[in-house]
Formats: sequence, C-alpha cells, structure tokens
Amino acid sequence: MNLLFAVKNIIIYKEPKNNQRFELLEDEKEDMEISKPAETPEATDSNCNSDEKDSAGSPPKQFKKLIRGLIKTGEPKDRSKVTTDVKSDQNKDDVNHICKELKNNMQKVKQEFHVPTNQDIVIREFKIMQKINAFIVYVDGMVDKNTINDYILRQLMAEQKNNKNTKISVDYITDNLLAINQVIRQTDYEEIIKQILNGLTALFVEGNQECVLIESRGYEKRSVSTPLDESVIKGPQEAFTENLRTNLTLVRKIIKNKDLVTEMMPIGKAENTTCAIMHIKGITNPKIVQEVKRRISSIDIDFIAGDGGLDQLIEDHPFSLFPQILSTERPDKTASFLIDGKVAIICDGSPYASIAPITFFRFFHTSEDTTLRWQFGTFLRLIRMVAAFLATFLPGLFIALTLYHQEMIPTELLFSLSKARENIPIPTILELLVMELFFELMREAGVRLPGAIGQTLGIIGAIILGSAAVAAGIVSPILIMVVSITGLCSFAIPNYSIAFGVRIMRFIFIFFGAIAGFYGIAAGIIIFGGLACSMKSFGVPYFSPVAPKTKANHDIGIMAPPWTLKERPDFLNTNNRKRTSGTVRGWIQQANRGNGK
Amino acid sequence: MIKEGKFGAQEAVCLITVTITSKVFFSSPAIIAGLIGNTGWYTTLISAAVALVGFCFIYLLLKRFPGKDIVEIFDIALGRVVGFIFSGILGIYMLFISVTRVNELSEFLKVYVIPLSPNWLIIGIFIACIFTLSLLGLESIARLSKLLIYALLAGFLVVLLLGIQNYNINNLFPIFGYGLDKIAFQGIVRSSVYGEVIILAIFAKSFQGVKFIKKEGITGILLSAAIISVSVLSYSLTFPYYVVQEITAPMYAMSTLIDYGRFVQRVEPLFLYVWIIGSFISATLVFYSFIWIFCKTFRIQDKKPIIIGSCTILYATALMHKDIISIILGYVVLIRNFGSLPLFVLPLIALIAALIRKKGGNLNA
Repeated sequence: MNLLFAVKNIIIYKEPKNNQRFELLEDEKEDMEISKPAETPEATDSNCNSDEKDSAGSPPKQFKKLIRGLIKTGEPKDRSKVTTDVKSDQNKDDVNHICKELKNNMQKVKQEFHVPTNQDIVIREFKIMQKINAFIVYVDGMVDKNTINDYILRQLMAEQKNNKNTKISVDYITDNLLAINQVIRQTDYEEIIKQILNGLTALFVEGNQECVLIESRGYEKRSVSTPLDESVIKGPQEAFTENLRTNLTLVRKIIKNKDLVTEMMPIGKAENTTCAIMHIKGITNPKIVQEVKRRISSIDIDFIAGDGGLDQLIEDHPFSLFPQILSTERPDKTASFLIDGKVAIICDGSPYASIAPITFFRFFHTSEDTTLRWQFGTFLRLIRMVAAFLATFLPGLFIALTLYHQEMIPTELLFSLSKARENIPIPTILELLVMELFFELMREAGVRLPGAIGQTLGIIGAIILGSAAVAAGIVSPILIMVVSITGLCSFAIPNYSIAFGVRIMRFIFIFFGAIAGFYGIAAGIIIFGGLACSMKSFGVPYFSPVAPKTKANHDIGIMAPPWTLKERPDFLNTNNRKRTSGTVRGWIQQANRGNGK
Repeated sequence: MIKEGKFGAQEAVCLITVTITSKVFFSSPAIIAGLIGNTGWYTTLISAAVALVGFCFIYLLLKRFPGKDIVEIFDIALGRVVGFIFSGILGIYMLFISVTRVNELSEFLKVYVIPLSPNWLIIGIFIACIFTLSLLGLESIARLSKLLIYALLAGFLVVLLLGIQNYNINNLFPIFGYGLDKIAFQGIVRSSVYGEVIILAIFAKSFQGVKFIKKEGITGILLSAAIISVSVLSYSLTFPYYVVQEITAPMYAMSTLIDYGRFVQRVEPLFLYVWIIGSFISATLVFYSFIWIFCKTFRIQDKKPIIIGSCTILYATALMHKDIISIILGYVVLIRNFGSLPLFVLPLIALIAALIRKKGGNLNA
C-alpha cells in the first residue's frame, strides 16, 4: 500500500504550497518608520504579547512579564517593579491555580514533582513569624543555600516583637520580611513550577491564593575562560560560559548602551529552555527581531539541546551545507554584530551566541581583524579566502587534472607526478578518497581524545602513517601533500560550521572531478553556487552585499581602514545607518582648521 | 501567480552581459572570420548599434505598457490569438537557442577537453545544472551571475593579457576585410548576437521599472559589445583571418598558445572555467525564458512540472543532432542570420499594432 501511495504521489500533480518566506525588503522601511512612535517599551511589550497570544500555545502574558522582570538585574527594588499579577478571573476550582488551603497546595506540588520519589525537590515547612503555616519549595543544587537560610527562612521565621498584631499577608511578606532583591507574585501552578525548575524558591502561605517566587539561584557554573574555537593573539580573551546571566553580562560589559535590549523567551511550547534575544533598539530592524521571536515561539518540540539545536530549527534552509546562523563563543564578536544591527540569541546552558541574519562573507571575519591594523586584517582575510578555496577544490582539481587534463600539467611537473605514481597499484581516485578518509578519522579521533593525547595522535598519525603509506607504495607523496594542504586550509577557516560544510563539499567536488574533470567541477560550482545564491538568512540574501549588490561599508573581503567604515551594512535595513555623525577622525579636521588659521 | 522576485540593475546587466558574451567562446568567431575576414572586432560594434535600435522598440513597447511583460503586451496589443502565436514563436525560439548552446558546448568539450566522455554524460551534466538553476528561479540565476562575473571577467582578462606575446598587428590588415558592403550587411544581420537583451522584456516585472530596463539594456549591450569586440580583436591579432576560419573555438585555441617559460604554459584550465560557467548561465537563462513564456502563454501557475518536462525535451533534443558540423553550419548560422526576426521584429510589430489599435496606457509614448 505504501509503495502504491508513493507511486501515486509521484504521478499525481499537487498544487504548490504558497510558502511565503520572510524577506527583508528595502521598501518596508517606510512602514517601519510609520510604526516607530509606537515603539516605546510598553508598546513593544503589548505588540509582542499580542503576537505571542496569536501563536498557538504561546506562554501567557504573565510569564513573559515575570521573566522580563527577573532578567533586569541590578535594578533597585521598587514596589512597582514587583510584578503585581492580574487577579485571576477564572474559576477558583481551576486546578492550575493556587488555592487558599496550604495542605492542598503542598499536595499539588508533591504530585507535580513526584515527591517523595524525586529527591531533588526540597519542601521545607515552617511558621511565618511563628504564626502562620507556610512552606518553601526549591530544587536542591539549583539554589544558593545561604540565601535560603539567611535571607528567606531566618527573616520569615523570626518573631517580630513590635508587630505582634499585624495581619500577615503576601504584601506584608514581600514588603517587610523578605530581604531579597527580586520577588514575584504568581498564582498559576504551571509558571510556578517552571520557575522552581529555573532555580527560584517558591513560598506558599496559608490562606493566600498567591505564591511568592523568590530569586535564589545559585547553581554551580564554569567561570569565564579563554575561547577555545575562536582564539586570537591580539584581542579580548573572554569566552561565553554555560550561564546565561554571565553571558549577557559579558556582552553588556562591552556595549554600554541604554538601547541594548535583552528579551527573554522560552523556547518552543515545552518551554524547558530559556533564551535571550539581544538587539539594539534604534539600530536593529524591528522586523528582524520580530521574525526571530516568531520563529522561536513557534517551535513545538519537547527538548532543545543548546543553541545548535535551536539554530537548526529556526534557520531558513536546514538542508543546506552552508550555515545561515553564525555561532560564536566570543562576547566581543557578538557585540560587534549587535552594533552592526544584527540579533544575538543566547540560550541558557550554551556557551555560544547565535547571530542572525548573517551573510557568507562574515564567516571569514574574526575578532582579530579589527584589533589588528587594517592592512594586516586584509591580508589575513585574503589568506582565509584562499584557504577556503583550496580546502573546497584542491582535491577535486587534483583528480580532474590527473584523470582528464594531463596535457595541462607543465611537462616537468607531469614527469615528477608520473614518477611518483609509478609504483602505486590503486587508482588515483581511490588513493585520494582513502587519504581523505584517513585524515578525517585522524581529526575526529584527535578531537575525541583528551587534549595532550589528541595532539600526539595527530602528529603520530600525520608523520608515521603518512610516511609509512608512501614507503609501502600505497599512496604517492604528492597526494600526501594535497591532502595535508587541504587539511591545513580547512583549519584556517575561522568558523567551525562553515569549515564543516567545506569538508563535506570537498568530497562532492572530488566526485564531480572524477566523473567529468574540470567540466564536472564547473557544474558543481554552478549547482552549489546557485543553491547558495537562492538562500536567505532571516530575509537577507546570503551573498549580500555582492549578490545582490547593496550599498555596504568596505568590510567584506578586503578590510578598509576603520575611519572609512562610516555606515552599517545596507542589506540589514537598519533604522540608523550612520555609524558616525561626521568625520571619524575629528582631530584631522581640527588640525586642518588650526593650519588654516 | 508565479513570482520571480526583484533584483537590481547590476544583476540585470550581469545577466545580459554573460548571456550575450558567452557565444564568443564558441564557433561564431570562426564563422564571422569566414564572412568578413579580420574585421569582426568592429563589425560587432555595428551589430551592437543595430541591436540598440532594436532595443529602442522593445523599450518603447514596455514604456507603453508599464508593469507588463512582453507576453502580456503581445496579448493586449495583438489580441489573444495573435499574441499567443507571437509568444509561442518567441518561446520556441528561446528553446531552440538553449538547445543549440547545449549542443555547442557539449561538442566543443568533446573535441577539446574530454574526448572520451560520452555525449549523454556531458549533456546530462549540463541539463542537471540547467534543471537546478531553473528550479531555483530567476532571482538565484541573477545573483549567481553577479557573483561569478568578477571571476569570469578576471579569467577572461588574464587570458587576453597573457596572449599579448602572440599578438601581431599585421593580422588586422587589410583593415576593411572583404569590403565595407559586406561588413555593413553582416553587421546588420548579426545584430541577433545581442538579441538576448529581449530577456529584459520577458522578465520585465522583475526589474525595477521601465526606466531601469532602459538603463540596464543599453549598459548590457554596450558592455557586451566591448567584451566581444576586445575578444575578437585579440584572436584576430593572434591568428591570421584564414587560420581563424579553420579553428572551431578560436578563444580556446588562443589560450593554448600562451607560453611564458617552462612552467607558465597553456592556461586553458583558467579559460575553461570561464567558458563553461558562462555557457551554463547563458543556456539556463535562455531556457528559463522559454519556461516563463510557456507558463505565461498557457497561464500555468506552477513552473516546476514544466521544468521537469522541458528539461527532458531539452535533453532529448540536444542528443538528436547529427554532428558538430550540423550545429555550427546549421543551427548557429540559422540563429545568427534570422535571430533578429523573433527578437527585434516581433516587438516592433507589436508596437505598431498597439499604436494603430490605440492600446496601452501611455499613448504619448
């Protein structure tokens, strides 16, 4: 039946689905400007919420406010900031809401967390001011125990001698007893449970239909260390960690701008992971931010492992070998993208920031380019471009030359090539594939092994096995050179994702070269080039600003002097294109004026 | 309705230039040397001037019907039946050009580069590329041509510059070749070389207005004329005119003569990429024009099934040719001699009909 169905599907014509993809068009700017006055924080919030409301299964307004409140660290405690939730108009029998009886609440919490089977959950019962029954719930290991002991329990349990007759309400507790910088009142069980899992402590009080969520997070985390994937010689040596708050702080430390906005969002409908969407209001095109939020909120999956999983779920062309979201572990790089007008997505638990939209040429830029003098930066970029070219095409070109176009090899080189291959029993294509496979194996084994052993394995593998293979007459020395240069070049590509794409494409080009020589490789260029040209990253064409040609600063392949980079990339349709109000190097003008006098 | 997106002036100029100039790599130069001797390099400028006049008619037609493409204009100006016939002729002609281009490239590759590979494989790879690019659409083809044109131009210039060692100024004489009358006649007849500029009218909706089309068309023709003229001049300087007539692909032959010491010899690999990639883009665009005209004429909303079917037809037709001679002296000569009729005369007739029947929004055009 399945086979019949498949055959039927092939034969029968189906109307194409009208999949309108998001496009960032220039003429939309006017619309944006019209809507600009409405973009006060309040207005944005309401818009955002209305969008979220529309999307099926999106989290309620309350929860958004709650996490937004939580992320604003360092703000003085203000009564107005303590979120006063809208009183629920729903039926009191609703099982999702807290009831007045503490016993019922405890039962519900135990049921939800599978207590006592689940031993991570701590429920501590006590009497507030030795009068009213209450209990707190938290996840062991996720909270700072000092906070709980000294600033929650000690404060709540202490007898207030001067206020013996005071009625103990949630208002009273938050205003007078808890010495904690952030507290939120919540009535919805679902939200309470999520926040408990997030590391907050929930306080339930007898006779109150509200629970107090107390900021008490204090789990173990890695300290800020040097970047592993994107190390530089000259430049900042900080990398992101697995802690979201630390990561946000690292970015904020670089961009000290009041317009840098961090919006917190649960990912998908399961909402097990939170991510932060960072952008600079007034620079980043709001349509991009909206699109990022729309895509993230529409994800319907039970679990997402970090930003890598998220990238795949929100990128435009998941089947392509070219990544459409740039992943970086460097806060300074993230900051530079944000200043350009891009959006950064940082997931809780991931030491990487995902940048969108991104174009092909940005994958070859590193932080070092800007910290070095522009001439050196240009040189490095050109080296990387050449490396990417060789890493993709060199083995394919070698195969094409040796199998199809021997007449094009200079005579002396042809002699040495044929001499080297004289005793090799296997065909060139097989020889190349075996060596490439061997190289990939060595690389993978090197990564999986602990640091020092991995490096040793690489050296041993390269030297001993390579020379042994040549001595045994299995491969020719020139092929070892081709494979080594290719491998070296692939390491010179600064972005791990695109380097991976290049590694796979290399095998495809070997195949193309083997079936039709240069003609096959040219066909491969056309097919891959066409596919890449059809791609967009969050509405921005992948090869912008070259194809399509847009006005851009000169920071593409060749790096222009920093004082000439006066504008942001045009293809991002930023709200503020200018990076400078006039002359970057004002001192030259001053000097000229001085001379004029 | 099928949508093609919009793209800018630079991409349009690149598309037109690559499509027009790619024929310089094939047999056209040899044929022109046979007809007018060593004067091809300036005869092509006459052809370009005639093509500009032809493009003026296309522009006037588009200006008369702003926001419409040529298929719609044919329908409005000539009526549904005649318009259908005109569009059909244009579409079939486009398919014929693409078949010829596939044949030319496959045969030349077989002659010069991969003589042992079977024709079905060479053509099959070509069709696979055309199929992929056609599925991706015009916007992607335009962007690809914009992206690759820098590499194509660089490779082309390197070949021209490295070939300087073989240039002989005496090869340009007699400067008037076989006579001015023949130059003038061939210059007019061979204006079809620049006929692909009609693509601007076929995809008129994808460009940003008639004003832009005018600019893009004129720039495309002038740039193509410059490239063709320079390349014809370079091989005219390299080979005497009686030798060029014998060479199937003079530009390729010219690149094989480059020799700077023991190592820098024969730069055909470089030229080969310029040649093949240029031909791929050119054939795809022409083929895609056929698909577009077909879909518009028959009011088909989804082009994908048409692409699959048309690629099969293209593949089968491309395999049908007898030999390379039948292509060079048959198809190519036919296209060059009579290509102006569907490419420039049909729009002219439509313009006259529109004027007589008082069709079109802008009656002062």
